[in-house]
Amino acid sequence: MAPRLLKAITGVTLVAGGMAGLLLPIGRLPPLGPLLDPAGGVWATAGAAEFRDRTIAFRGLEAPVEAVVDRRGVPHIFAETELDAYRALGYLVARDRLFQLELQTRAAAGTLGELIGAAALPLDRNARALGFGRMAERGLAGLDSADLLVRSIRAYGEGVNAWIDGLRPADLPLEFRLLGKRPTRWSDARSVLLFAQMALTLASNDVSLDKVRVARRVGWAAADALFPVNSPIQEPIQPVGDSLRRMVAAPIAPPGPPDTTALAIGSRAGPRDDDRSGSNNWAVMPRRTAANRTLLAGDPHLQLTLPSIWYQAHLVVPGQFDVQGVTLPGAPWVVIGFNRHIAWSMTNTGADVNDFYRETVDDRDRPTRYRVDGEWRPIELRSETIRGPRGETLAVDTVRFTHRGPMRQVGGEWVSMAWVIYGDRVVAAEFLAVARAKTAAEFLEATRGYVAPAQNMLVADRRGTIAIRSTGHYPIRPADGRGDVVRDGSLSANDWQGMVAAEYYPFSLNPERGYLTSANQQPVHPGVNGRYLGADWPSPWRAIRINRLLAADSQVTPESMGRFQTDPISERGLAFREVLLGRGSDSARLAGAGPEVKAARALLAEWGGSYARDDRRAVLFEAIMAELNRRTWDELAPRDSASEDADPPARPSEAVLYALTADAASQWWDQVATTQVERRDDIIEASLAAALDSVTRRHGPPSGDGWRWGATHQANINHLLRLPALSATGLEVDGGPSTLSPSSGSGTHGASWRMVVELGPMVRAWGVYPGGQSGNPVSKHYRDLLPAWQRGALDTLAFPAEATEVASPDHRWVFRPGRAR
Amino acid sequence: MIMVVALLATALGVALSTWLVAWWTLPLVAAVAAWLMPRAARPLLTVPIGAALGWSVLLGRAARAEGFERLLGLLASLVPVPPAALAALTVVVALVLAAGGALVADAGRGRPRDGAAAK
Repeated sequence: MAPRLLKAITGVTLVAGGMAGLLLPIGRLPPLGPLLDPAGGVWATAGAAEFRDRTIAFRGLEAPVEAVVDRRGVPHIFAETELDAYRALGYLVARDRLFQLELQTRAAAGTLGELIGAAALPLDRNARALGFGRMAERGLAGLDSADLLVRSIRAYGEGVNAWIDGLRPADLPLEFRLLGKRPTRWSDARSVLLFAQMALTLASNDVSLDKVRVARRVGWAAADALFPVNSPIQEPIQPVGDSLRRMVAAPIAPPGPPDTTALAIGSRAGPRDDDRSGSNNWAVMPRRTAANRTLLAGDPHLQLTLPSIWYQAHLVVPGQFDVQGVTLPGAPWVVIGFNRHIAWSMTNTGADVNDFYRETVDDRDRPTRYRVDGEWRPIELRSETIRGPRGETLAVDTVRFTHRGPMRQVGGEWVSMAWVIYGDRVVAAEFLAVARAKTAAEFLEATRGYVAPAQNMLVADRRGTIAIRSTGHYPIRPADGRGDVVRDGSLSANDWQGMVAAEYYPFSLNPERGYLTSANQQPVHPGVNGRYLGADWPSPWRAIRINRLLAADSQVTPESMGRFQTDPISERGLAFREVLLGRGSDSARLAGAGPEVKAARALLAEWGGSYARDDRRAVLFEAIMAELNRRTWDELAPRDSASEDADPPARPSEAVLYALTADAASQWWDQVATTQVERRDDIIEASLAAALDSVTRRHGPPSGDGWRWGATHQANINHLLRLPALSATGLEVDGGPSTLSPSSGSGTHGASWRMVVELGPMVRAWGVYPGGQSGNPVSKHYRDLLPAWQRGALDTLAFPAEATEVASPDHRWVFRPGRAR
Repeated sequence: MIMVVALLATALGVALSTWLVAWWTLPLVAAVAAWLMPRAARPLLTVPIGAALGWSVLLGRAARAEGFERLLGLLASLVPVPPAALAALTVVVALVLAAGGALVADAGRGRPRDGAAAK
């Protein structure tokens, strides 16, 4: 072969082979070429995390905007018009959180598979089955494009898209590189989907299916008793003074025969965890504070992720608003924050705002019609094609809708779900007006029409007013008004009959005691108002703790407010400790207990209810509680059979367990697997001995470091893709189950934002969240706020009135109207 | 001397085209450089080395960023090879693609002219 030909063949082979190897993905790895590109590939990620002062031409801007980013990475945006402020915010959020914007709205739209492949198929199927895409389409169709809400969303989207359109190769976030993907442009629908996702997280708890599962095991009377409408322990948001009893538990019906006619429902998503919703807020009137100024604190608890669910921002539009706080990446307004006059925060109400209906259909396998009042109605069919990263079809599902909402086949039956977000506007436009509010009254007026997820909205103003209202749409149901049942869908009389008027929302204003508190507990004492808002409320241990701390301190300061947010003492621990130590038992029984039980009690007696990371007794208490729950609710335990009832139903709350301890002879104490009849004290003693044995075997002697709470339990903050290298796991923190900074289970939920605001002549604020402003893992702002959060410390939040007042800014970007280059 | 000039020119061209356009321009630039380069500059040797140098300069520039050490730490945890090996692979990629481009160009130029061969 001629040398020239040989050279040509070798050269073409090297180039073609090399390019093919660099452009095609290898297994799960993305194409190596774009990744290794020394100018715009992964190597450039470090440079893309640094910003210098810049002037940026921005098409569509009405006037120049200045964004000064402080040393915490927080932008202070000074604009002349409201829409320009949202444009700049969208631009900066896209710069800092582009992958998060992509991922979270894809999760709601059910298109995660296109980004990360077949592993996301179950999530995509669930999102499609909930009809979020349909809801976003309808939600947008019902909005007036001249409305400020729509114009705000569009302006924000223009900012996001301006960043995407001008994206340099080096700016592409690391996650996109690893997945071999590019960001998609923002659309209005994605803002709607963002709120649908929040509603799914916060407003989709329906106890009715849990009760059905329990009824199939132990009958309806027991199911009703284990999942009561009213919390057995009352510490309501709406203060009642001492006139009403704290314990309102009715006698707990014993386990009965299984009700096999109840709807057969498969496995539950997971065990109940009271601490998944562990948010707190409280406000103190000036007369109970050291400086005679209104104080407000808030810490919403959500799943912890890197980057954080929140993006902090400060927006200033002269004559319009001057507001700071946390925004959701994907929406232009401050959700929790403060302005120059008021401060506000929220906890989830946890109201029952979705109901299930057992439908009568024409075909058990592929229904096309359902019957209502003897007439057949057509079922709306929607074909959902779920695609993978290369456009391949992963699944084609048919989603069915009745007039109530989407249908699912459950245990051979068709069940449809009504949900407030299907019938109403889901995007929370109210926050646009909240930013302008100058008094608590204006805040309350601005949020009257808020739909979902229902929130305990706490507000305080500089005039000394504090108020709280559990705001959101609550359906009016027929008959007894309860939503903790599965209703017959063949009768239109079972449909919702409207929404409760705002005048009837749980509400309190300037209470006599001088402070207001919420911690996801039942908002109103049933002795005050018996209207059904929900069932199976989280146990109110945190609310009891906050109220105890505030009642004991008539000179509250911002510092003490911040300290309370990570107070490690558990009222749950203190209450159960008394029971476990045998306060209700007779002395002969205590004296006759075995040595293991006495040893466990002696160790438990040393515990003061603290979950500080260095505490060495909380680990034993938690082991005892696990044993006590397991042994008490053995009737609900997993079964060996492969039947549809094999999975365990949800366990009752610990408030129910606590109420049960008052009845030493309840049939629930008896163990199904034994022939003798056990009573409360038998179960407590068995739990004590078993817990001590297991903790000693697992963690060594009680005096050792193995018993440290921090060594046995940590916070785990996972990256959005759960990549270990980008996550922060194994973080020792103060707090345990039902403390003010609750942490239990896998440690993946916690305080997503902590804020304290003092409303005096000057508004001062402190805050922190677990993570940092940047979603770029290489940025110094990726996790720079984490150490303070872990310590329970708060950063002082800069609140400059002018752009020039930002102390030692990190960088300054000026946006000017004009065509981007 | 001519080899040094050719090498630096190639490095500059490769770095600029990668910076301004994209990484995949490298074989094209390498082919053009080899085509234009006098044979005395030994393009089959100079062009790949120049390309590797060009990409190394870009890598060095990226390494000046404040977060580069954090990036190396991240990469070490994300991919089962040391970051230095990834950097080396980047340079090897430049060598291979440039060698391929230079070979194709060299084959296309035909026989060396007498005068050029004599040098």
